Amino acid sequence: MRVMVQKFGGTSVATDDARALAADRVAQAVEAGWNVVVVVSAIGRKGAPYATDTLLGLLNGVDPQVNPAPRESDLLLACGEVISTVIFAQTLRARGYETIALTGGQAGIITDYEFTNARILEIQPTYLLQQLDAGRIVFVAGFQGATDRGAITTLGRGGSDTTASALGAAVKPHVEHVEVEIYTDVDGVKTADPRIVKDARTLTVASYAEVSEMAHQGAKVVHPRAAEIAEIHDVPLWVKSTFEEAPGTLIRRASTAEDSSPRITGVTSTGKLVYLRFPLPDVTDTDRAKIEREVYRLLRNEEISIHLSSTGNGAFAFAVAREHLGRVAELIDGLVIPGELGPRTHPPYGVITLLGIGSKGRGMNAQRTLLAGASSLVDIQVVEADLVENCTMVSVIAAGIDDIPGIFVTMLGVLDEQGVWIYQTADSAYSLSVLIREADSVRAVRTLHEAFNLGIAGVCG
Amino acid sequence: MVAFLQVDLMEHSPGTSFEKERGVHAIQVRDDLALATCTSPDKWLLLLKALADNGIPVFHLKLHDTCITFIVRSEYVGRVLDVSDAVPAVTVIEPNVAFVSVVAGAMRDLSGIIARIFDALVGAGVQILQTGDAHDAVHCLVREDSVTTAVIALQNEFELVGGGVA
Repeated sequence: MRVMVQKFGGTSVATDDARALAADRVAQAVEAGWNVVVVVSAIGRKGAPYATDTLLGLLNGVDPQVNPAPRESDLLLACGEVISTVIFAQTLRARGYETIALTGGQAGIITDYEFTNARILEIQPTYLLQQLDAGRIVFVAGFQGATDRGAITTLGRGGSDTTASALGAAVKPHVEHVEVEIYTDVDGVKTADPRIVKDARTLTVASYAEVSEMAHQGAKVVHPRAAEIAEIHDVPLWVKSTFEEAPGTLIRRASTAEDSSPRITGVTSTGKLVYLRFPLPDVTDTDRAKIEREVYRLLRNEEISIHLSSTGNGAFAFAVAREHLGRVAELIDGLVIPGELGPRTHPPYGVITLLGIGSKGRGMNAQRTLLAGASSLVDIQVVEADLVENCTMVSVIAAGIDDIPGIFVTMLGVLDEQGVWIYQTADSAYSLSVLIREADSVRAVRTLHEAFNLGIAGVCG
Repeated sequence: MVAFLQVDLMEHSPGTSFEKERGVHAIQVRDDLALATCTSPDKWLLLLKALADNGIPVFHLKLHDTCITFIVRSEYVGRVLDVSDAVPAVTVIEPNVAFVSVVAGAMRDLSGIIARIFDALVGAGVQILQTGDAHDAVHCLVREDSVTTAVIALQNEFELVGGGVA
C-alpha cells in the first residue's frame, strides 16, 4: 500500500470553490493510485463561524473573569475540525468516492493529559489502515487526539500540521511508502515572505532542519513540530498550494547536493520585542550575576520568556515580547538588590543596586527616597535601563553556517550600509539573527534577500 | 578539538519519543574555545571582515556599548591576533573557555529557563562570562575549569539524572 497523507488548512476548505480545488487534489492522488488520508483544519480563520478562534470567543464570552477548564476548552475547540472534516468528506463522497470521517482519537492518536497543548504519545493506526485497505479515503480531524481514557485533547499551535506528520509517521512501518503533503495558500517554502519580497523564490527542496529553523524564526509555512516529527520518523514532507499547479517544496533529510551543501536558505522576521539593557559598569562580576539572577527570577515567576540574552562587559541585556513590557516595568522598576558585603569595618559597608526602567515606572524614584537614609552606610548605585521599544528580529537561515565564510559580516555590513541599527545579534547552528527596529524590518529583509542572491535560482536550491 | 558531552533523557525514556521531548532534556558542552573582545568600536566591522577573508569562523557575536565580543575555536587564537594587529584593532583574548548549553524543546514557549540556569550556576559559584539563546538552547560561556561544576549544577537543577557522557 502507498499512502499519501494530505493536510488542508482552514483557507483551503473555507468556501465551496476552495473545497472544490482541495477535493481535486484528493481525487488526483486517489486516481494516481495512492491510498489517501486527509487531515483537515477548522473552516476559515478568525471570524468564520467554526474557526478555532471563534469557538474560543464563544467560551470566553460566557464570563471573561472565569477561565474555562482546559478539558472543556478542548472538547469545544475540537468541534471546528470535526465539522470541517465531515463536510470535506461529504464533498468527496458527493463525487462518488467512499469516505470515512474520524476524530483524532478515532484515528488512534493517543496523547498525554496536557489539555490545549497535548503531546502525542503514540498512534495506533490499525483501524485507519483497515479503512484504507477497504478502499476508503480516510478523513481525520486535525489538531486533536484523545487521552488513554478517551478525553478529547487538542495539540496546540500548528496542530493540524502535526496531525498530518504524525499520521504519516504512524503508518510508515505498515505500508510500502508514505508521503505527507501540506496544502496551503502559497506554493511551497519561500526564501522570504512574498508579501515583503516580490521575487521570493520557492525552494524545490529543503531539509527538515532548515524548515524547522525557518518556522521557529517566523516563516509561516509548516509548523516546526510537524517538521520535527517528520524528521524523527524520516517521512518526506511536501508543501504545496491548494490553489496553484506547482511542484511545491520537498522537505526531507539533507541528502542531495542541493540540500546537503552549505547554503543560505532564506530570510525571516519575527516578533514584536522590547530590548532592555542594564549598564553596570561599576559592579563586580559577582554582584552582576546576583542582579541578573534576581531579575530573571522575577520574570520567571510571571512566566515571561526572555530572548537574545547577553551579559558581561559591564552590562546585561535581554529582549521580551512587547506585550510584557508593562509587567516587566512593574516588576523591575524600583527593584533593590544588595551586593556582597565587603570586609570593611567602616562605611560604606557594601553596595546596594537600585534598578529603574525610565518613564515606565515610578518605583525607582520612590525607592531612592527611601534608601537615602542608608546612604551613609552603603553605596547606592542607581541603574536605569536603556529601553528600545518596537524591535523585531530578522534572521538569515543557512545550512552549514560554519562553512560559509563571511556570512555574518556580510549580513552586518549590508545592514550597516543601509543605516539599519543593530542592537544585538544571535546565532545558532542554522541561523544568524539581528535585533533591529521594527520600522527597519522590511528594508532589512529585502536588503538581505538581495545581498545573498536568494531570488536567483541555483544559489539557494 | 571540540569535546561534546551530552545528557539526553530521550535516550533513557524509550516509548516517549514519538515527538521531541518538551522542556529541558540535555546539557551539552563545547570546549576548546576562546573569548575575543575587540575594544576598537569603529573597527569591529573591519575586523570581522578581515577574519572572514582569512577563513576564521567566529560565532556568538555580541554587541556591547564599547566593544564587541565573539568566540573562536582555540586553534585560531594566534591568527585572530595577527589579523587584529593588521587591521589594526585592539583585541583581547580570554583562552580556555567553554559553552555549557541547556537544550530544550520549544524553548521560546518556556519561561524561566534562564532564571533556573542563573540560580544553578551562580549558586554553584560559576562565573557566567556570556549568555546566548536560540529556539532550542540557552548557552552559557564559562571558564573551562568551571565546566564540571556547571554541568553538575545544571543536571541537578533540571533533574537530568541517569544520563551519560557521549
